[in-house]
Amino acid sequence: MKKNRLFFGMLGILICVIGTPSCAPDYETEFEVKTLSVPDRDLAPILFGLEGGQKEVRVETNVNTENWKVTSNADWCKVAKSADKVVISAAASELYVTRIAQVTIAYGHQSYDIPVRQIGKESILLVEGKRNGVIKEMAEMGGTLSVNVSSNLVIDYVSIPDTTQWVRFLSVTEIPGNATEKLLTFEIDPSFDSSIRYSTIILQSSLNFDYVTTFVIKQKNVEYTQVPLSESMLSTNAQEPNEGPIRNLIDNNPSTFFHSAWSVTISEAHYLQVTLENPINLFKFWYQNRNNSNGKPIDITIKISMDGSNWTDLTQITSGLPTGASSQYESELLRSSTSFKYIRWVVNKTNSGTAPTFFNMAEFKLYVLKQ
Amino acid sequence: MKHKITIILLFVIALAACNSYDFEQEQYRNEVNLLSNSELVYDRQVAKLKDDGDTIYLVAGLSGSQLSTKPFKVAVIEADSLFNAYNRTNFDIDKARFARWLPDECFTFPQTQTQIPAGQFQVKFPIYLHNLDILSPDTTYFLNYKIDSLKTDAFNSRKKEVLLRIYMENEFATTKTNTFYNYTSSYIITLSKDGGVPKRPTSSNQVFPLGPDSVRMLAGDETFGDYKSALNNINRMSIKVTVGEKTTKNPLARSVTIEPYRTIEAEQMPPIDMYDNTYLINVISTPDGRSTYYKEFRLHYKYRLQPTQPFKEVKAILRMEYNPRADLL
Repeated sequence: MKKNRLFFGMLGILICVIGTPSCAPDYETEFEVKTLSVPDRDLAPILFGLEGGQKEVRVETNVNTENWKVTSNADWCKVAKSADKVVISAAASELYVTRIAQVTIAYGHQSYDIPVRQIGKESILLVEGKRNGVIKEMAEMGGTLSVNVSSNLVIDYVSIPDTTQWVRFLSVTEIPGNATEKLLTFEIDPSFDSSIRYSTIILQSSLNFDYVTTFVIKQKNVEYTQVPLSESMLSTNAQEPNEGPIRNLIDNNPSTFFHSAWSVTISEAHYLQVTLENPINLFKFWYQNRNNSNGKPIDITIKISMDGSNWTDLTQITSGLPTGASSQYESELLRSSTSFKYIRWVVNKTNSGTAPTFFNMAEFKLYVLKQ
Repeated sequence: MKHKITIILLFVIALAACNSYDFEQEQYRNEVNLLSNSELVYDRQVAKLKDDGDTIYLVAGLSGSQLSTKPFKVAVIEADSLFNAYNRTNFDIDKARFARWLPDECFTFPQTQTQIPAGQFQVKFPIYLHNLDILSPDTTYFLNYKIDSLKTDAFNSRKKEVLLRIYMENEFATTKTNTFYNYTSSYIITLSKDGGVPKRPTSSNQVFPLGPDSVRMLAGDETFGDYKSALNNINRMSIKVTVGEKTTKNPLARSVTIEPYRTIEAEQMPPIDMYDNTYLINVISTPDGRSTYYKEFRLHYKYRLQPTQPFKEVKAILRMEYNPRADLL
């Protein structure tokens, strides 16, 4: 019995010893993992100066050189690979901007990106030595304005705000004998504003849009002088016989007033007329309403004439005329290409009715440009 | 014992008998059909707006549970019944809104007769599309074909005609679905003395493909209005943005050109700050490594709808989130 147990036990051990190696594969397989890595310190962004240069980036890999790739997404950034490194190079930059690129080192899904930058030439675009804050003054009569600019860029963008169309850019010219000095010429319209006006000009170059230079054109305001009016210079086609003589318009007393006819019928639109001693071709007017609620003009036509017989419409004002008691109105500057001595304010509508209808007014003034 | 053996024998015989049914036999008849949805429209293909055109397919399938052992002849001819029914059903007599035929100069259908080979279940008729940039993104275009009954083997009469819907797309937008870019960090400034405070739009702007590298969108924060006036507003208020070459400064960005689409008065303004008139793929990453991809238009232009109006200056970043991996599917 014992012999049998020993026999079968040794037989079992023999079977295990023979059987176990036979389960082993009968082929040899190499499980070498292909890796590619770039050390962290070599992943730092690369900065080239204006003159260019080259930088080596170590690559730790057991992949054959021809099987892993290195690419650059910009033509100016060149890459070359060898067994254990990548050489990234750039030529001197002719640009005025910093240019960027990305170098990618990859094998399959193992990919490393390295940002590369190269600074460009220094941009210069200065107005009288400054990028901002220069103010160029212009007289109220306008004319051409020349601005000296120092720049190594091509100045091809001169932006004038849409709200200052009184400024127009004419040209940029090189100054002979000086490659960096240029002359910008602008045309400025005459100003008829009673306040100073400003325009901020923006200068840019397509070589470097980020470099923005500005300066301000400041134009002086005009001054107006009041035309001395006398009673003989004023007239109307519709004087109210019971009140409001026309001389009340120029008595500097807002409590008195002129009133056009309400007690008699006038079959045409009522008007106020001024006859000047000397011809003019531009003016502005001011008036103050009577201190009551009715008879306030809301639609008027202004006519001009040189001889008092032949009339031309200068303008029609249909908005902005006040209807409040004692409120005041100042017009824009009104201009004509021809001179005139007679001015007529024809009232088409008031807040009380449509012409022919009465109107009233407390004070009236006329202004021309101060010579 | 005998009884048990008999039962076992009978069980074995029964099992053997189950093997006699032929599951490999044909369960249905082989009939040719034109691939379409339940409304007989095939609208799953989108043509790319490329200079050299693109190809879509009219697909003829073969029904049946088994592949046929013989080829099936298929021939198609032009038809119009589905096209007319589509317009009548959807738009009644409002002809201005009717779908249109794809113009002849926009496609070539070289082969109208072929066969489904033995052992195959479908065949594709290529339709070569070109000059797609003359099409309007506001119009629905169709091709209508039906099986030529004289030259085709057995076919399914309920699937013998198909309406092919023509969609087009470029890298920036598609007509298959609405493409919206959202305003972010944007300004609209009215260039007049009383223009008021600059507006900061946060709305979205629908973008339509025009050509391989161009799109159309409404200027500023203009809107389509109601559907009856939408086409007129599109023509009045839209700008065309054309994407050009990559910039020398940043190869990931491409320069864009802005011009009027129809009657709008629009002028491109010089780049300023980040509104540098470029298109780029903007990747915004979080510190934990997640990245969100955006297609971005960065625009600087001014426009006005009427000569009597002041210009409106627009500094806009229009952004649309997208998944770059989805394009690879």
